[in-house]
Amino acid sequence: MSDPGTDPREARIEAVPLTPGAKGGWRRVKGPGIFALAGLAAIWVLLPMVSDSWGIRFGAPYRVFFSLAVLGSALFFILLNWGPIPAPGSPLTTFASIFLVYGATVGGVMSFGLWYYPQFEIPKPAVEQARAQERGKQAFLSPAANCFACHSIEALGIRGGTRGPDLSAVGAQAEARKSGTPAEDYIRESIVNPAACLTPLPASGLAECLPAADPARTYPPLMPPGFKDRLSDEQINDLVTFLMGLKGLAEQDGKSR
Amino acid sequence: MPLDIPLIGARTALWLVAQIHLFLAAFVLGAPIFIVISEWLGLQTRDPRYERLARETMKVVAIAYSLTAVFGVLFAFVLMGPYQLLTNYLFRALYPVWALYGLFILLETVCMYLYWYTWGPLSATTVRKWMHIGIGVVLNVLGTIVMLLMNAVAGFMNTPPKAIETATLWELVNNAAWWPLNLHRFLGNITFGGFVVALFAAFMFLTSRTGEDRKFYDWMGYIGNLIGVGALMTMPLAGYVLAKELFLYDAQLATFMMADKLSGYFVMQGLLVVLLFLGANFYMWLSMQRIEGGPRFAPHMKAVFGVLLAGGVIWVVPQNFFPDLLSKAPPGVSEQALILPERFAFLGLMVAKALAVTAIIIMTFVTYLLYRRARATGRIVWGRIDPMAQYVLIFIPAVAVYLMGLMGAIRSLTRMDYHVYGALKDLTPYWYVVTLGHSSVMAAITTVSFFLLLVFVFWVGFVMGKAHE
Repeated sequence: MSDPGTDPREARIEAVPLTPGAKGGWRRVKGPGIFALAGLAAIWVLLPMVSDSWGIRFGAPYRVFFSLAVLGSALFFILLNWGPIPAPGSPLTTFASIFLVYGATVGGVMSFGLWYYPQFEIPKPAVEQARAQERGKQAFLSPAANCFACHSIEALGIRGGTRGPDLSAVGAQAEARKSGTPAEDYIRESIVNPAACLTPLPASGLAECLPAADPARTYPPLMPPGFKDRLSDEQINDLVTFLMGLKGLAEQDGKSR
Repeated sequence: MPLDIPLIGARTALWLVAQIHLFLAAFVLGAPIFIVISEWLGLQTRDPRYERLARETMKVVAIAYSLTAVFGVLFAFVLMGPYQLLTNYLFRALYPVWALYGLFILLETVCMYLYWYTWGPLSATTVRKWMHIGIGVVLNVLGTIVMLLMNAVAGFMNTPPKAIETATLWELVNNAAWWPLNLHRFLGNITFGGFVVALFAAFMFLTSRTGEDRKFYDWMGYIGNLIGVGALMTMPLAGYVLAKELFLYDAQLATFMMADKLSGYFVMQGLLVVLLFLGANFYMWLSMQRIEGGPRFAPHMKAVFGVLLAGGVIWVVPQNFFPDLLSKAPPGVSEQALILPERFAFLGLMVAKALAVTAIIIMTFVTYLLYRRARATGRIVWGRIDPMAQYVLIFIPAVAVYLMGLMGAIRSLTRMDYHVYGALKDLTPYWYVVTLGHSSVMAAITTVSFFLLLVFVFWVGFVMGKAHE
């Protein structure tokens, strides 16, 4: 980099402001305007007339894209032709103009991001599911349900009773508990009608539940009935969602891979 | 999930504080690099403008440093609450890195204040000035070490060693993305610092009321922009190196980025980079006005801009309009309408994109050559410039900050539904890859928030200071 301080080519005279509006309005937009009109005509009138066999038929999203490019280019050349603009006169207009330029720039590019394409993943269900899981966990721990009196969830560090099965992986196990019954339905049934099918003991080696109690193979039928009356439908739904999300220690640690 | 943040959710909260922290950090790490160079140039050339540029920029850095720390602490708070699992994991895996990070942050802070507060006392003699420059060099070394340490963590989250259970600490640190990320962020910080200096100069030019100040801030804006654009020209290559390392680490990542759910992000990235180059070239066009006889180069520059715009269109045009690999055309729309026609299919290939960006870089270089040619034959009248040039210097940082925010989102989202790719699943409700629209809004919020903080810094440090005097 050369030395600007001692460079004789650098004028040390007082800067004379450039005169705003040195160019006429029509001259500023004439060339770019003609370019924009010609470009848009080519994109929207000529291109659709071209035979498919030429292999240059662009779809509507591309034509919108090229139209934006043409208009953007024309705007760029209009700005090149514009000539000096007046400097802001007061502190208020100075700050307002600075914020306007910055805000309009950010807003413009944000709008492009929002326009670019219909979006691919709807995040709301995931958030809603997580909230339902959290409410279900609260229901699990609530005195009204008192689930933890008999059940533990080691994967979450919930050390409850041991009379019932550990529910750390109930979401995964439920898939095989009752043949022909979806996991969610099985969990719901085991809450509202716990005697319908009894959970096998881990030592039994069984995956499916059994319709009758068997001290050697199933947990004892100690789970009290009546949860349908003690808990609201929403609470039961949340509880089911929470239990469905329990997939075991490996998943909870995030080391399933 | 242990905790959540009410109303906005944990991810949004983390996104906001982390991104603003990173913006500030990029500036306070990038700016001191050329502050020291400028101070050295001031000593060598005896031109007081270099000294003033260095000192005024350092004043902004010193105020911004506190804000960086504040947002760093907020970042840590959000991590420790809703993201306990990740925090614990990272601390367990990389504990010595965190310990060193704490140590070097402390050393850097001490050095930064030492550098700032000894500026006056160590300017009296040439020997003392060299001592001061030496402190500045140490400050940069410490800042770079801090960046390397945190890049190790960020790189580890993206590309942990495949045999993670048996990996040594060095293997965890020296992961596949570490050095590409170091290169990318080092150059990015210089670009960022240069553009923020240009923004500062534009702000000061527009709020200055004396001819002398306008002359100086016109020159300062030119230098800031020159640094920013100079470093920017290297960024596509650095980005390519990073992307290639990710590809070599796991080809699925590259597909996910370039052809699947993040492909739209790269179209937007292309647009933003083109806007940056257009802004930089437009600024040079306006800069010609301060050179006597400069406008005679206008026809040449217009031809250059024509090539630049054409290159920009080729770079940005998407290969298809499908948002991901599994998407189908909406009802009533043919698949053919959403992909490039057969004869123009080559425009969607990387070769065409690489050629286009090369043309853009070369054309920008040509613009600067034309400026130098004009300088060789005419005198420069600093301060004699269209005020629009200052607004261009506001436009460019707005795009640069936004771009950095969006690129940060890409790096983070490349991990898919993992905190640490392939090793630690994201079990929070926010595991999913957000839409481009969502990221666009988040980048806009963080970009505007950062700007408001900067304006606050400029106002407190300079406008209020002058009013007080």
